[in-house]
Amino acid sequence: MIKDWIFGLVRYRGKMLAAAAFGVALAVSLLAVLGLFVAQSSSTMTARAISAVAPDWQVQLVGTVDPEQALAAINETVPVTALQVVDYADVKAFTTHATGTVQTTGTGKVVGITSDYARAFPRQIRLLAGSLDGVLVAQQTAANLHANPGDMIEIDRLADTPIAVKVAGVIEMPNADQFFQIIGATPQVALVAPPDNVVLIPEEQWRQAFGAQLESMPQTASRQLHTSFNHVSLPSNPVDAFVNVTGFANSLLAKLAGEGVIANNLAARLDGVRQDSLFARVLFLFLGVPGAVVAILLTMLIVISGNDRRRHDISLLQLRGATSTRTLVLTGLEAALVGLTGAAMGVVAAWLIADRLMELPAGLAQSGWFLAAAGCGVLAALCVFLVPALLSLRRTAGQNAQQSLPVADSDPAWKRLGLDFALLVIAGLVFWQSSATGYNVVAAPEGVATASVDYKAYIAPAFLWIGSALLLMRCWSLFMKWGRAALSLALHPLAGIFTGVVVAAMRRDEGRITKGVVLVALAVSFAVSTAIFNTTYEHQSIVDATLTNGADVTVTGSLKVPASAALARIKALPGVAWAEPMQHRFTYVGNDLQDLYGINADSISRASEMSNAYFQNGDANATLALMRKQRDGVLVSDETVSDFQLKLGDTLNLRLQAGPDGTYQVVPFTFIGVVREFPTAPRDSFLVANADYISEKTGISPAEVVLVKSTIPPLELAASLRTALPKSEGLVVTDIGEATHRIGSSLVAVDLHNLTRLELLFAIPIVAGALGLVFTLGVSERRKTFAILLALGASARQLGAFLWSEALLIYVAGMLAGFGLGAALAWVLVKLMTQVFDPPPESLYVPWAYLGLLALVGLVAVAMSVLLQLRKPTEPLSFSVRNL
Amino acid sequence: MDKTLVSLENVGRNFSLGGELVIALADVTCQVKAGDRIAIMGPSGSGKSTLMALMAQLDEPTSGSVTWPGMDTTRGLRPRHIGLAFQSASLIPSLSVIENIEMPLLILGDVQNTKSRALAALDIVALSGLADRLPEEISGGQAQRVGIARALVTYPELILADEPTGQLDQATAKLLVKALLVHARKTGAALVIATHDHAVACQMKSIWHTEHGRLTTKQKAGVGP
Repeated sequence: MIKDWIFGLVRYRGKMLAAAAFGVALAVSLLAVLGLFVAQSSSTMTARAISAVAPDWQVQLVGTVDPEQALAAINETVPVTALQVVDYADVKAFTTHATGTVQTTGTGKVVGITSDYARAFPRQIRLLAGSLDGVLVAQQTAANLHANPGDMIEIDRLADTPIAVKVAGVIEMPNADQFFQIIGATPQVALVAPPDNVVLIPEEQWRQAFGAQLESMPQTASRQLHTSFNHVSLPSNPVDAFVNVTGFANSLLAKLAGEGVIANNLAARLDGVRQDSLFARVLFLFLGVPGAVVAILLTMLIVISGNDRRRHDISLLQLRGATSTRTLVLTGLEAALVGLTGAAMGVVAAWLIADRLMELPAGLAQSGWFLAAAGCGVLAALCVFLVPALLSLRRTAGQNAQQSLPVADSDPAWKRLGLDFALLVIAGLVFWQSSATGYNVVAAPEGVATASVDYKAYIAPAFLWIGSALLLMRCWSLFMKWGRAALSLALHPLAGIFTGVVVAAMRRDEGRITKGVVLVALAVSFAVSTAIFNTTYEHQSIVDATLTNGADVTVTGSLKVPASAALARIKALPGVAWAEPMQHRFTYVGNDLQDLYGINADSISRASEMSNAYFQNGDANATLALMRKQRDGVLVSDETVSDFQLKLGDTLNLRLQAGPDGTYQVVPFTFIGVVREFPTAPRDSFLVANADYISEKTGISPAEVVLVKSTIPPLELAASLRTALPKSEGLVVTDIGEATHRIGSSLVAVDLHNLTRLELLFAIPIVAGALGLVFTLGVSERRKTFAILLALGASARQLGAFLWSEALLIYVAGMLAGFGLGAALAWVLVKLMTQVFDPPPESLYVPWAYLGLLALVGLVAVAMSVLLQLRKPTEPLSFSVRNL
Repeated sequence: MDKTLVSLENVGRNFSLGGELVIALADVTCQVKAGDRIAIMGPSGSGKSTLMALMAQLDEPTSGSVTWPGMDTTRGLRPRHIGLAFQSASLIPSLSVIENIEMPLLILGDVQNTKSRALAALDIVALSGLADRLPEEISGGQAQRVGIARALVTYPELILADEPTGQLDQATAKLLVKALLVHARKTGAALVIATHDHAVACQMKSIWHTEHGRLTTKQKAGVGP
């Protein structure tokens, strides 16, 4: 019997089963590919984060512990790949005597490194001039001292007489914050600004000069072991990798037994990535699950359309004495057939998409995602088939034999109870609480092994989605009930003289049309919300990368080798839309050395987008206009305003290097506004002022940086700039792509473009499927009506009046409601996920072209459904009429 | 001389059912003229409905020809020239009784006074009080009478009714047939009824018998008006 049953199902209900299996396949493939994407993104985050760290650990030795013992302990704990001893000593000052002048700095640090250090940790030291063999001077210190390779520097020691050393090279220390961090302090305290004045000397020389200071004044000198180890054995998931690395560090601490403290740079890096990894998971749930839900709803709709027939089958089985178990088994077979076929199709589709389109790993290691998604699909199929079957079994064979079940006169319970309003109110309250308290969806406290996602945050978008769908049902019902005149007016161009009967038929078939409108709205809202969210995210990613790099391409020089000297050559290159010189100087605010950016307020935005979020007043144009008006105006960071208790209009005296000898001179500025972020600026303290005012007051007009807006891919322009400006000139060319990589741990690094492609890839068939299926199924339910109309003599054109009216009504209403709901959802998601946006977006960015394509695809799906229905029937009308 | 409305010449109609050839009609030749009152009788499966379907242009013959010499076929036969009442009630479930009856007028594009004309047709079958009900709110017999009203509303030249009294009690059936006959007389329409009911058939001018797809006998009944 079972074999016959399956054979019969396939033979006579093959199309319905195939359509239902298609719905399951959509859900399964979407879940599987999204799962693979999240796993891959976690893994990429970990790999990128790990690769950017050097050294992994900085172990500071306490007291006079023998470094050899510490080295042995480290070697026992991890597979070491690099290990270097680094010594630090505080000094009173550095001095140079040149061309009859004496340049003296404030306090500084002298670091002792071995000749191998730069090779062991190449990211730590970048040579700007001279050689790495010997005494190295940090760029800013060299500028302060006017020191060049070959010059002598005097080091004024704390506990001894000054010593003189000969400069071999000038260097930049890209990771100075980390290199000079305070080890053993809380994370907030550890990352203090690096010292303004730094000189690196050979380790042997350091021991001779500062060995005594290390013993007698240990609070002013210290010894560290910088080490990196093999990462192969680390888990790919950043959360697990963080736990692992933290465990290794704890193990080492135990071995050192209080004789050392560790700065776990690798764990700190993974700590940040860990949060991003959880964000990726949240995004997966926020953006992916609604799509899978819509696909399952589609499957449900298809299955429900066959419920009358299935109920009739159950009635026949009941009459023939089949037990409930037997009946359920037979229904279960139909469900399993749909579920397994759909799951298999979904897994194959997911594999093809992952392997061929997205280049995601889709091998045996990822089989868990495929199995989980397939399991969800089969489970969903079983539910949508078996639940109605169970309800049917509670009725008698006679009740089940009725053509249709009696419809309840009263409204459904959710409508009577106002569930839609309740859900929307709860969504609003949760959202208000979230945004008002500024809480974080993802909580991964720095340094703490546990990380969590606040799943309560899901309530707002989930309830908004469900509540809006129910409210739409309520409103649509009311419209169908009371909006006859409006409906007639809207449909008259399509229905002509049939308008009255078309509207009457629709109003009586309101339930089915409402379901169609709501399903289409949900499908469209999924597509719209993901598209708007992703576009906004991508836009902000570009803003973030621009913020880091400065512009599409940036040429960076120095005071001695200003990039603006090459301005004419830069402008002459093809692909340059605009080249904007920007000064980058250093200035003392009190005793605090800060970055100062000199800009031309008229033209800066032609090279780099000035986001409103950069400024505290939220208005970039107004701020730049203010700068144009107030020549001596300066924009100051929040931190400086707070540290120096500044008020708008205050005079701010800054010390800037001026004149031919580069001595520091006081230049008065007027505090006119607060700047939060600025292209190429550090995250903490910096200032922005008018370049021409700085030039006038310092007598130094060249700009150290040139920001370039590109009309061609930035990578290509950067390559041609590198050719035009050889490295030997001392200019460094960077492009926005490199910045994206540098940002590293941020979600920007996880090619969100792929996630966008993936979701848009699925959104289109889901929307097209929803529109096509809703309408096709609607027509199949009303095949009788159309057979009668044809038998009465209606032409295909007249039949079209009914079909087009209904189709376009569902299309237009579903699209409009879906666009509205999708935009609202995107807004809520962006607000809830503010943490992942840096800087926060000023508004949503709508991908109009994609949404236009979506609308077009939906229209084509509807049109195809109508045209399919309007095909000349293959069987004679007499057959259709006889079967009425 | 009465004009011929529909003419069948050596008409055959075969179907394939589960791979087996079924001869529904074979070599049927007949004509229906204006003013005819014809009852088609025969056992189930003898070809009555197939014959009606061919006359109504719901189907095409496998052999022979069907023509409508007295009708302008260029603008369609139904519902302008032929009014059709189906074996089952076949009302559009989402339209009210009156809207169902208006439908043939709308199909014709004849939008003048559709409601009053539909009400008049409903009055013929004595169901004026049910105009605003939905099909699911009336009985099977009432639905069948609404179907008859719908067939009459366009004042067709040929009324084809396939077992119109199948779901009616005898008294109602008698009244309905009488109403049909009165309407046909008033409008000059030909009336063809497929029926198993001898009492109905006896009210027609002619009775045609079908058996195994063949039109076996045509006899005069001589009772109808």
